Amino acid sequence: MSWTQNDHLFAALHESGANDVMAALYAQRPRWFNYGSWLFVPSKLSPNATQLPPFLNFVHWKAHFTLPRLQFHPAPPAGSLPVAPNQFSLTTQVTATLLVPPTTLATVSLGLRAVGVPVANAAQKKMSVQFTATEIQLTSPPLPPFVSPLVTAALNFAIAGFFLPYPAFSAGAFTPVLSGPPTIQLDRLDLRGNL
Amino acid sequence: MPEIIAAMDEPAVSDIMAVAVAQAGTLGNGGSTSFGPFTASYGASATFSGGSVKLFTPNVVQIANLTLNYTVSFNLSFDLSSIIPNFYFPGVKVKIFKKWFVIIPAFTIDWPTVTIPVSYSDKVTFSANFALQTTFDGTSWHVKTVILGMPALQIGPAASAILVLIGAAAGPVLLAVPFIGLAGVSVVGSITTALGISGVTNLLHLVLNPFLAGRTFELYNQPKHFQLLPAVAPVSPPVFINLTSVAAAVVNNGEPELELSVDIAP
Amino acid sequence: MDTLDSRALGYFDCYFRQFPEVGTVRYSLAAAELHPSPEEAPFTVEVAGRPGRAPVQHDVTVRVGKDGRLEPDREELAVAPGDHVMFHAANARTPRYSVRGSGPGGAWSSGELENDSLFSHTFGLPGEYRLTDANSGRLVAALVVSNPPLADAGAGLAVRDAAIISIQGGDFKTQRAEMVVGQTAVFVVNDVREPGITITDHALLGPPPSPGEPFLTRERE
Repeated sequence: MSWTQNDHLFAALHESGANDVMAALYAQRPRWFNYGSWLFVPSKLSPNATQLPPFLNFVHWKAHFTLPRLQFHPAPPAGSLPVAPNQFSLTTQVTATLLVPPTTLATVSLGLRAVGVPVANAAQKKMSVQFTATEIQLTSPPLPPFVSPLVTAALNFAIAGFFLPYPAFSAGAFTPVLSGPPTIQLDRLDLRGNL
Repeated sequence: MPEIIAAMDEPAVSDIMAVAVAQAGTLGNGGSTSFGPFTASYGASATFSGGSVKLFTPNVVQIANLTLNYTVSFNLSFDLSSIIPNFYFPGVKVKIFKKWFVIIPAFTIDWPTVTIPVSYSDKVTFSANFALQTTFDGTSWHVKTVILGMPALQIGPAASAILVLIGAAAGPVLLAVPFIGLAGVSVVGSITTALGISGVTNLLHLVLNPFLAGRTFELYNQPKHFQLLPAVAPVSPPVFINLTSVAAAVVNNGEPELELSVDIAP
Repeated sequence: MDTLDSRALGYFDCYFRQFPEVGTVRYSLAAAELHPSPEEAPFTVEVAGRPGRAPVQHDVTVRVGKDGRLEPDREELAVAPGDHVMFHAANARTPRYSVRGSGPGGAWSSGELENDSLFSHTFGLPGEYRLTDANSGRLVAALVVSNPPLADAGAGLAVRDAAIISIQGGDFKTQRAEMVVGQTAVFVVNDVREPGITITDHALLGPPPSPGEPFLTRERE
């Protein structure tokens, strides 16, 4: 079967390439992987007040993500989350810290997994992502109550700003007009379309 | 499995090739040559247009109906005495008065060298095979198609038209040659016969071949240090990835496609 | 159009001078009228003996010598009274020149045609030639030269007879003629007032016809 089939253009990013992209983002946009209130991180770079659960407006916090690992379908479940066709999983470690007045820092480290799908933005010719499910590693003793909303807020903030322009998928060879949504299969994220 | 695969079918490559062909821009060449009694100095400019692509494994891109649009200017010089016989004036005896005669002496005219300027514009359409060639110049990756051999150009009608133009341009140049009116032959006819269609054809090939020899069209040109994401003011710089290898080939798994395989590293 | 000026003789021009009186004639050849003084004229024509039954023509070929100067093919020439000498250039590369001399009959010059002089020109290019005397500004001859019909052309063609243009006396009338390329016009000049006439294409008048020649300053008649 040809790559392009009924279309004229085909571009694919293999899972190992996607992880290279993630490593480049991790090294060159550290701000996407480090969040906190103004005491820890300049406010421009963090979720703003409306994006946070209400109580976090009154406390100081920070969250740091390690280099996430991506896996494309077919992939083993991420934690308990299965990875269906056209889905990918993201696995990372989070270190979250809360400042308990006056001076105590409560820190907890945990695993975060998410499963998502690629989303095409035809008008701007770029691909974004959307998470369909997230899971925080269960621990014993149970996590303090601030952790889950904190991590979820940071994650949503991060993916809201993330995108890859279409030409990146062809290493700059062309910019396609997609004929259908991006698909994930055989460890690849595929775009198909025409000039 | 390469980390990025980009594939294009024949219609897509045709469209990308049309852009590449136009990007070749206006080419120029010039020079001079001698053949028989003629010397020609010439200058020419050309552009390419059109073309449709067929792909053949493992790496052949065939462009059909590619058009070379050209303009050429010649200065054709030759010694007229090598084309037409020298003119002999036999002298004349003149009676001035009764027994007084004077004799105007004989002389021979050695015809001079004349230069005829000619300009001509036309186009010629041809098909040619090109090979895919991938190179790295230290900064950027390039995938080009390089012409294989030299296609045959059908320039017969152009050569005929140029010969007619030479004849027409010769007229005014010859008018300034003393005694040319007595040459006794159609001087223009002698010139065009001596030059001949084959002379003009060879000249035109000499002018046009350099536009084709080694001709390349570039399909892909990206820096190794490849920008994934643009900068976001005020705080986020652009994000780059490195293209560590690029390979191009024609594959056929049901239909012929141009396949670009790229590996990347952070 | 040809370059036609009797003051500067070219390859298609001839200058004829008749020598009726016995004696020694000294002459010089120069381009751009840069002649030596008459005593230093280097070439001679010895006119001696009795006139022949008919005048004889003696040809002098003017060429560039080894030292780069104009010279005749024979530096000393012997002729009978009444004979004439014909000066013509060796080839198309010979620079334009004039002949100036003096002898028993007085001084003479090809640059000013007075008596006993003929000037001929064989036409190479068609056109309307308005030939003017540079000294007086008067029109000497109006000649219309055309290309011959194709049937007449060809190497070894029967060249038409020369056209004789007679310029006699001080009040000469303008001569008119129709000629063809390849035909020769012979201008016969006699009894013309001083300082003599020139036969010069009207288009050439204005700036001097050859470099270095001083602009004519003589009074017009």
